[in-house]
Amino acid sequence: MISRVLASSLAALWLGACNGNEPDCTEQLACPRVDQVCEAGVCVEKRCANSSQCPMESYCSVGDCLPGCVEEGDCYPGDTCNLDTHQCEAQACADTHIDCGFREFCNVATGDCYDAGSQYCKSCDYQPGECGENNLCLNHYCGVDCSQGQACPSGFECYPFTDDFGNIAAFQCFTYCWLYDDTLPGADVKTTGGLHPLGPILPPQSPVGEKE
Amino acid sequence: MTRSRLTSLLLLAPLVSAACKSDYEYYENKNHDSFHQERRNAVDLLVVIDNSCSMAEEQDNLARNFQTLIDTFAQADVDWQIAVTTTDTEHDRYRGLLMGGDDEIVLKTAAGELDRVVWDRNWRFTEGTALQLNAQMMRPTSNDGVLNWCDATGSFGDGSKGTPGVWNPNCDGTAPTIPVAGADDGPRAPVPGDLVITEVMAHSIGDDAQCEWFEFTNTSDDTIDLTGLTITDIGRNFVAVPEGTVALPLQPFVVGRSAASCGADPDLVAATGMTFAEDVRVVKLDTPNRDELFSELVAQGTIGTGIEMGLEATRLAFHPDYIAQNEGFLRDDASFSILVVSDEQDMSPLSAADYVRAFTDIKGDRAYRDRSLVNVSGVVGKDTPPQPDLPACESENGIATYGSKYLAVIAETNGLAESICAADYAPIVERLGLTLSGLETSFELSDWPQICTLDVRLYENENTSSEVRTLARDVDYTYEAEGNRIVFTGDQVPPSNFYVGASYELAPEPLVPPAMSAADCALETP
Repeated sequence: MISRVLASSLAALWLGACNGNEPDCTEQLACPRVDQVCEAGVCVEKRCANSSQCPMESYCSVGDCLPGCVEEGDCYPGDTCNLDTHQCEAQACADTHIDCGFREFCNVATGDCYDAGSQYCKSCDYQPGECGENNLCLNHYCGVDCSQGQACPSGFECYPFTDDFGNIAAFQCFTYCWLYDDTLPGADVKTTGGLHPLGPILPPQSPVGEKE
Repeated sequence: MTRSRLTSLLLLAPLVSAACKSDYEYYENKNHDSFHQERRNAVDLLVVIDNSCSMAEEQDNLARNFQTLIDTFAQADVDWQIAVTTTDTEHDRYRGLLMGGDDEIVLKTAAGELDRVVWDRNWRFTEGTALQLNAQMMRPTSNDGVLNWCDATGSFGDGSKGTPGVWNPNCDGTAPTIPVAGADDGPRAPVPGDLVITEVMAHSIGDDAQCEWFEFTNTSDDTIDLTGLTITDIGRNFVAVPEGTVALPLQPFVVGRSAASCGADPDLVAATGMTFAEDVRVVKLDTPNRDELFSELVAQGTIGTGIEMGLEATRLAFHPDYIAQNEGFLRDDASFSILVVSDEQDMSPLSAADYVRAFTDIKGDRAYRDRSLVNVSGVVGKDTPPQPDLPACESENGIATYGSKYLAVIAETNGLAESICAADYAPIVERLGLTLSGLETSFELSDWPQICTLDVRLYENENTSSEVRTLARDVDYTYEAEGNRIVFTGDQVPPSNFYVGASYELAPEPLVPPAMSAADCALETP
């Protein structure tokens, strides 16, 4: 960039000012466009005044947009700017529900999201033991026990379920697994295992409406 | 950046001198920035309403304050459009859809519900035409399904179609068979089966606020005392029928919104407390009766799913599989704002960053840099609880879970976060209006200026010949050394689509706040 400015400025000075041609601009004669700057008598288009005028994953330096980054805002959401390399790179996760995708947990130590396992939203047919100990088959998809405060992966809520008498019988990591069946419109959420087509909507055990 | 630039300029100066003298050489230590005030005075606002069972009061609070939002937009000359969706992604009637055309009429007394008709957009009210229950289906259980209703063909009043106060014909066009009345043992209180909702004018040919009406029929042989009867819906509708009002045996009874009701000649006038939704999914600046339509839209009831996914619901509304049903909402030249109103954490499947990208991509790459183009605000549980299993806040309407995922998206998009536990949403809505309608008020300079040389000018377009005037520092704008920006307030803010040019000589070092005032600069200048 610097060399380009130098070259254009010098060219203008030698070829413009000294060969008798009128300069494009002077102190009294402004450049015709607001986004132009007068460089040694020549109107030069300036691409940026700051990085907000540059494409993503680039930044403004001396009036020009350069690839890379110098701050977070130069990178897409979910990425961070490595100030050593001036490159955008994936941000480490810090919170399962905020930073990770469907059916993933966040490993805070490594900053990586990882698959929570196929037992979440595993299809089931109400057979004993098919979902694992303390896990219920709910609307043809396995819930996962969270009654002791176990964390649920992203997209799942630790939801209370009642027995036939209205008493809370279990807490299960639960979501509407059938929504992520790829036969539904808009169900393009990435999953890490095959999901069965829509089962009956009414769960055999009723979720408690609201927890509050 | 500053250092390398200065180096280049210092190198350049002797060369210029060596070449020849010119009257522009001293330009080389000057800088010039230009800024375009993008059009911001058009906003498409999607309100994402939590319709789970704890949200009735919050929906009502939002509906009550709609006018505040509109007033704020009006002050800023904002051209707005508003649509509503819900946090429910499970049920087909909500999933991926902008709401509109859903409503209900409920007749009940203290003893219980007598009749209820619930309609959705598939019922398709034609302008100026009432929907009539087939006369062969005059039972409270028969008016639940759209197949037993048909468009009226008979004319009344101002040329509208309908038979208010008269028995409906059969849907095949034949005359109804009206039962012969037996002995009248009334007046008596109604019991289930006595009153049947039989005709609805939800989309009148005139002003809906004057012309909407509905009819129920007393199907019994007795005069029915309507004292204590209420007409409600799941939103804000509430009409208490005056004491002593009666419905005659085997006669229709018409409730209208005005004495004339465009010729429906109602038996009871409900000037307030009764509005009907029609299939309007986008409320606009020029939509008639926009405040009551908005009230109907946000009154989404409390039967939605218990696992709320406001972010996923928004993504789906603009997903290729659903966008065709939601056409006409997003405008190319308007900013896109999302307002989530929920008392629960968001349980959407993707990460917060993925949702920010999904929403931002709707407006293209430049929306990442210019957050006023796409932003998310929220009235949610915003205060971090002392322990993870405790609520974020509590009000007389209940408790709210900490909405950390919503808050992450709000922060990333420079939106506004407000507490759902607030007693009155008016201040919140006003702040939201200002946030959504605000023009750019500050512009960051690309380099540090020698402050006394700062020359700021306003242009009507990109050509310098369109200069409006030179702006005076500390009069038309201020300079903030912290952030290195020029700042405008109030009516000094550059109008939409205008340009601001800032020229200045470079300072050798970043300025230490506060910058020298314009008055002091004037004293220094010979």
